[in-house]
Amino acid sequence: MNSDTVLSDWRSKALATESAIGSAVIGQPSLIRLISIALFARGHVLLEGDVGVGKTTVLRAFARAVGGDFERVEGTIDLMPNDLVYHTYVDADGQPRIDPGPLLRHGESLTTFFFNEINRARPQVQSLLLRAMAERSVSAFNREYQFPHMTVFADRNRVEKEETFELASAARDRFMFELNMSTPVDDDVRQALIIDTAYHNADTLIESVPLAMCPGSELNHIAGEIQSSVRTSPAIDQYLLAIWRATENPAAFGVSVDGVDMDRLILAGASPRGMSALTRAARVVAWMNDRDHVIPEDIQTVLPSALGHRIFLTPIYELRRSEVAPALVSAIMNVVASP
Amino acid sequence: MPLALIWMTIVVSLLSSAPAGSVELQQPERSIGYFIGDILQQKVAVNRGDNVVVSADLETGERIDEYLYRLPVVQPAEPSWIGRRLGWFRHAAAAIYDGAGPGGSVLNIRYQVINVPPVTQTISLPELSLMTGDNESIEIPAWQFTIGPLSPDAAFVHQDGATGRQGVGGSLKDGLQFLPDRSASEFFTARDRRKSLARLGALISVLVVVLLCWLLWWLYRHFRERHILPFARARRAIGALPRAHRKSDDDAWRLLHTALNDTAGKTIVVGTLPDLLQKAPWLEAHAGDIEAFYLASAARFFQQRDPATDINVESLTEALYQLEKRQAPTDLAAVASRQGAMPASSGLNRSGNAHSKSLAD
Repeated sequence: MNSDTVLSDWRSKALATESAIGSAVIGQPSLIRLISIALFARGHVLLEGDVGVGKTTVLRAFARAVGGDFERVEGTIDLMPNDLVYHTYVDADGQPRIDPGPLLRHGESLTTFFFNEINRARPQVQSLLLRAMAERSVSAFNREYQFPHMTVFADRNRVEKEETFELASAARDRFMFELNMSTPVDDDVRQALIIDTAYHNADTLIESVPLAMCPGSELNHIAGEIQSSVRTSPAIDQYLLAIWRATENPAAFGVSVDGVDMDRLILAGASPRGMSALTRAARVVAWMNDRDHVIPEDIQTVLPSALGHRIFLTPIYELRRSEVAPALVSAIMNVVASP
Repeated sequence: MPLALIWMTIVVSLLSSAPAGSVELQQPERSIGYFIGDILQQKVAVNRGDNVVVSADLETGERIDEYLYRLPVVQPAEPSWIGRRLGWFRHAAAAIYDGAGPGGSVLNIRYQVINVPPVTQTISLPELSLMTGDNESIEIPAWQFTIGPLSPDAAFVHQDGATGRQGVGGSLKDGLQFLPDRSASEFFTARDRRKSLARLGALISVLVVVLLCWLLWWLYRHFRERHILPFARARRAIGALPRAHRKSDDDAWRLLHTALNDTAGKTIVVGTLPDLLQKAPWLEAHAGDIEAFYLASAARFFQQRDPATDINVESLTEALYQLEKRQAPTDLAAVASRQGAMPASSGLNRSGNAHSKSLAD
């Protein structure tokens, strides 16, 4: 089976997965598409939204579609890094025992690590996660544990800020996408969510998604195939470079945001990792649209989700991030053009 | 009216004139009731082949006395060649001068009343001695008639109550009334002439200044349009490219992209073309061409393949420029501010040159 056929088959799988999850989690097609893109670009996803909009449900649905071993951790203020690596107890024989924690328990077969309410965990815990996300490995017990197929899904609610720890810039940069899940606005969707009993039981909904539609153990391979088969033209390369420079110095590109002093807005632009993630995600978009080349629309599809959380604002504007960052990214998209 | 009656009298008298072979004198029809301006006419008719010698006095006319002026004698015109050929003029003339017989001649001597006395008075047409071409003497005796004023002597005399001066005009006891006096026009002095010329000069100066301002405004607006309107700028920049490259050079494509982006106020891709048409509905006429351009551009720049359709960027830019010129917004400042927000658009700088600073860095 040649590469094109493999990619075509996997595209069908990806679209079928999207469709299945879209049936379980209604009213969120763009969010599901972006999570799917992150999955095939081998990126981690941070999901933010109001309480009870279905963040956990959609992530669990993806975890089921990916199959493999699944771990879930609830972020709490007393959670410590070692709680992810191991836990100790005294067994029935009165002997002290040390068992692997949720991160190590499944070894290389871990495909989905779901960190619920990540902003409730201490920065120490978040730091442990940094390496696990970036390198897909951790060191413990004098050895290194690899998680080559792991995808981290994390969520946080944006309503409560008490007893929470805002993610550090470095931690945010590890996530390919930071997605905002909002309450559906369509009345038909809202009516179905509250009236239709099928949407009242999350477990049943998740089980409606076929298990391991896109086997997680094969995602690395297919992701590599996608990245090598979808090409970018010099015009797209220049476009990406221009976007990168615009995130560093938007004023030089004439980017403006109402009520913002553009000369004092940016602390640091997008990181090389961020731009790399953007490019990888854009290639996946092109592949999902059955193209072998990237066009600006592919980049624009993922630009807000990939760079919105990666532009580091000065403290004076950091408090208004949720308002300023989307406006800035939108302005960059409006100003920078290709060709 | 009196003149018409006189002519009728003459004609009638001529029609019933004496037989040929004699000189006939016809006096005016009536001898009373002449007023200022009336014309009296004496007619002297002679036989065929003869004529009355017209002296120099008769040809030039002269004032006879206080009341009369003799008008210059007008010789009857010779019929034209066409008239002679057709014959009608001759017959008409013969009818008029029937009193002189066919081929005879008639001398009309006319007097005009140029003055009248305050009361009706009898005066005379002067005696006159004439000669025919055959040296026959013709004596015209004095002929009396009366002339008088058009109005009674004291009918309109008016005495001003304030000054006691008498004059003509004002209201009368018998109810007759003149039209009110018209105010006399002011004297047109040399000073007035200078003032008028000064006013005319000032008016012309104002007109020249207005025209000059309008010309400057037109030039300024034209200049601004050329430098602000997106398609005008793209057209100018494409025109600066080597002729062979204008239709298909990458820079030409980028320039047109920049113009479209500037027009929309945002970066336009195939998927956002409706935004462009919503922002600039006047581009609707070329919507198909624009979409074809974007598809061809995607194939050219992103797919790196030859586009399926051949796009002439230069002519498309020209067509869009013509639309833009007709629909150019009056508030060019709005266009300028919109463009100011997009300096790096399409990798082209504001002057339309390819490779903006940001991309060239």
